[in-house]
Amino acid sequence: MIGKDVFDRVLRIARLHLTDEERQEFLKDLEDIIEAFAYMDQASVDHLKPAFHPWIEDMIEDTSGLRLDDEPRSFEHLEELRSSLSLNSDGYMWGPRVRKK
Amino acid sequence: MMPTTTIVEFQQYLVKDHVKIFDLFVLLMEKLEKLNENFGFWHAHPTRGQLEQNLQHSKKVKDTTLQYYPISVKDNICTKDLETTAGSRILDGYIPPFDATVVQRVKNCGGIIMGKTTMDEFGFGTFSLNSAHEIPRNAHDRARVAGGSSGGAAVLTALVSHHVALAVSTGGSISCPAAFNGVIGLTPTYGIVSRWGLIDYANSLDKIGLMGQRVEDLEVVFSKIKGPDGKNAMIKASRSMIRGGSKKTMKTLRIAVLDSVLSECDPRIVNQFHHSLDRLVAEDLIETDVVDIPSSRFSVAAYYIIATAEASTNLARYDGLRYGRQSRSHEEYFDEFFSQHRSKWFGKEAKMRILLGTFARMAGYKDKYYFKALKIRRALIQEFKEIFTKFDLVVTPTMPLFPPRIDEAHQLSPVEIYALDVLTIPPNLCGFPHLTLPMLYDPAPAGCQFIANHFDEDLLFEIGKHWQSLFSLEHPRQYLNMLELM
Repeated sequence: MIGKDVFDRVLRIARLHLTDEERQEFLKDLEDIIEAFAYMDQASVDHLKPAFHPWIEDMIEDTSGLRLDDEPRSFEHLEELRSSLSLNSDGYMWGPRVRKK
Repeated sequence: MMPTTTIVEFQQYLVKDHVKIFDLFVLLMEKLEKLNENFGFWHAHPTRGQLEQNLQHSKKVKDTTLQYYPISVKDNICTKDLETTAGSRILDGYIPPFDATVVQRVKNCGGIIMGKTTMDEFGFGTFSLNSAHEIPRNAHDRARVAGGSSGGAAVLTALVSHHVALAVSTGGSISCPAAFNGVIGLTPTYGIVSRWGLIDYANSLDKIGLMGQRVEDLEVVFSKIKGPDGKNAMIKASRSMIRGGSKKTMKTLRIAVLDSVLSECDPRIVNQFHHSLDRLVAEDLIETDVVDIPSSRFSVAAYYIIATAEASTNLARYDGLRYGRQSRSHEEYFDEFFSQHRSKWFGKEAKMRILLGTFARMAGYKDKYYFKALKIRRALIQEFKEIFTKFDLVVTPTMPLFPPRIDEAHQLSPVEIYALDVLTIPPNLCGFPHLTLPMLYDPAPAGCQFIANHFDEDLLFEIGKHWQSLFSLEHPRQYLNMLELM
């Protein structure tokens, strides 16, 4: 069981607003899913390392093939992105305030 | 019947007259618009002006491998100047200023982009019923689901000759709809095809692949879209592995049959599965043995935990300030603005997956769910790798059931729907390439799925060609043969 308190915490972190009807429906579905997944407990895998990636043997321990940490076309890319944004007449994108006064 | 012409033969049929080719494509688009009214496979398609521009570009390419060849693109792959929504209302109106690497590569060898295909919102679904736009319908029976999440791609592939679809799989979104519509679907090794320009669902699982009516067509297009891409770190890292990956064989292929999953399948599908393998054995094309992969029984839970954990962070970029819908009202502070925007424009299944993924990553629960799932993935990969030391391929049916009727599918709970992915999830969770081939059309299409070790796509093409030599692909009643339009 997840319960109302934990579900409220999930909603807060997920930044989702739900109607009362939706809350009931989603909580039930989420509890059903978690209950159905409880059989994962039977998997004896505690001795294994997590696989964040499918190429467990080839990739995780060898990062020599990763690209250099640079972005040769970043400026051009920014210009491309600007064309998909709705900008004000002064050329800036406006958004909501992030800090209360 | 299998289409009798390859990509090259199709190109030879085309009269080398640009005006006539343009007229042919205009006629094709008109026919498809009519078909789309019944089957809902298109979200967007190029205007006549864009089509003309595309054809002009195709005329001039140096590499003519796909010159004038029709290619459709799933709606979560970015296409320059063509709306790309990933099946979501939150991206309505988003017109990318760039082509995804795969689209650029197709265009570089002359492929003609003929439209964006409908899908479940962000790939979240098994039936394509979670699309915020058109719901694609099964090409062989409109009352049945198309499968998901690349439903539109599969329906269009079944309905039109001489076309290859660019599709995407995270947990089975190529295999499922391809099997449900009786066509061939290739999900390549994770990382072998650049994901640059793909709208992310789950970064450690997403793979761009292909659907078509002939294995040879998929082989040709795959050869053009795969390979290193400076814009995608994963693909650059895989360079040496891609080079060393192929190992064509001329001998009988050793096939491991994952017998334990058959009890979960419709008996008619199991019967045809055995019958099909028996025919391949009788022709000395394969030899089979039964195997078990114990961790596969945990794969559905592990997949949904990992996929939703990744999706719940990826979807945070839709903040109402960039991409698609942008809110003009900035009276609220950012947190509230962001919450309202997401709550209004994400669909039900997207919200469900955000909640599940957020829960699985939350302090107090992440060890029990997220990290456990990642460890199960490692166990599963190790078990598959062990099988691949003795066998060339693993085989199962593609889906455990025939495509259900749309009204029946609407009655299923999330748990029931997730469980239907039991056969397609193991290879997807592990990044193994797999190929679904049609094996049955009555009462509805069903497929057989071959799984290979990482970078062994050549073995899949080999078994696919053997399969084609024995079994026929059947067309839906409304099938449109492009050669008849010429």
